[in-house]
Amino acid sequence: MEQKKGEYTSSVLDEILGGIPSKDSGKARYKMLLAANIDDAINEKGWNKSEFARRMNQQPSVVSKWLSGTHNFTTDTLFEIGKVLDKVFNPFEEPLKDQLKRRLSESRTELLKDVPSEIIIGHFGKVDFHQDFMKYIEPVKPFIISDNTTEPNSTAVNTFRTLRTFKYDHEKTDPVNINELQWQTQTKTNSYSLLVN
Amino acid sequence: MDYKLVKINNLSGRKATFYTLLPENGSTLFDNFLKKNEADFPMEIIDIVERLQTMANDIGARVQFFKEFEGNLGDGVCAIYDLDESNLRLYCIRYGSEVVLLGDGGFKPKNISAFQEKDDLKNANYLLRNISKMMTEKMKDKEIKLTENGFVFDDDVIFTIDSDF
Repeated sequence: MEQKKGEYTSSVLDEILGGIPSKDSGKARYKMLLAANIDDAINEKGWNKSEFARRMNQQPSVVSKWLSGTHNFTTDTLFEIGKVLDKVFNPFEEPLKDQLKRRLSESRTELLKDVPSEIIIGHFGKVDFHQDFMKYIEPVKPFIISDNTTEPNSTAVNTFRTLRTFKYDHEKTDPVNINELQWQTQTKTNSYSLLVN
Repeated sequence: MDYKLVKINNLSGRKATFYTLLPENGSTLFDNFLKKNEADFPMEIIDIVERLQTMANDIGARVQFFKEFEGNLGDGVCAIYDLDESNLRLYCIRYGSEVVLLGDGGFKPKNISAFQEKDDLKNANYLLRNISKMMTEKMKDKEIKLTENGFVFDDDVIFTIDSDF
C-alpha cells in the first residue's frame, strides 16, 4: 500500500478492478447514469419525487429504488418513464447541465486571463442568466482562480462581486447549442459576457 | 484506538472524493470491507466498486444513491444502496455530493430486522456515528475544512475512539 501524507492507494481496490470480467464491466455505471438522467429529467420538469411517483402511479419507495442506481429497468418501465418525462434516455450522453458546467469551467481561464491575480472568482451560479439557462446551472461553490488569493469572504471577492456584470443573450438560446457557447471578456469595463452565437 | 483520515487516491475523481479511516494497526476500513466480502460476494463487491467509481468520475455522490438516516439525526451516516438480492451493507458518512467517508460494513441477513443484531454491522455503524460527531468538532475547531474538492487539513487528522460503544 503506497502511503502519502493523508492519502493512500488501495491495492485491494486495484486488484478487484483488474479482475472485473469484461462482460460485466460498465453495467453498474450504466445503471447509475440512467438513474441520474431520470433524476435530472424529473428536476427539469420542476417536480419532486412524490409528484413524479403520482404521475407514474407508483409508490415513492418504488421511485427511490429506480433512482438508487441499482435497478434493472425493463423496456416497458423505461418507455413509461420516458413518456411521462417527455424524454428518451441515453445514459452515456453527458447531461446538458454537466456540459454547461464543464464548458464554464474550461472557459474560466480564458475568461479571467486579464483579471488581477489577487481576485477570487466564485459563485457563477448566482449570475443573473436567463431563467431557462439558469436552471441548468446549480449554484457553484466558490473556487479559487489564482494562487495568491485570500479567503472566499475576503474584500477582494466582495469587490469583484460588486464589479462584475454578466450579460446573456437569451434571444438566441432556443435551443442552446453548447458547441457555440463562448465567453467574452471585457475587462476594461469589468464586464463579462456569455454569448451564444 | 486511533484512526487516521486518508483519501483513497484510486477512488477519487473530478466529481467526488472518497476518504476512509486507517486504524493504527491494520488496513483501512474500506479495504477491510472489500477483503472480508470479496470471496462470498464477488459480484456485489464489483458492483459497489463500480458504483463508487461512477460517482467519483461521472455524477457525484448524489443523495439518491444512499440509504439515509442510518445513524443519529443529522450526522450524515448512511449506507450505499444494496442490491435487492444481496443485502451487503457499506456504511459511510456523506458530506454533500462531493465528499464521502467510507467505513466498514457487512452482510445483513434477511432474517434480522435491525443491524444492531449483528455485531460487525453494529460496530461499523456506531464507529461512524462517533467519527461524525468528532469530525464536526474538528471542523468547528478549524482543524479540518470541507471544500468541494475534499477535506483540507495541514496535519494528520486522527480520531481517537473508545472501542466500547
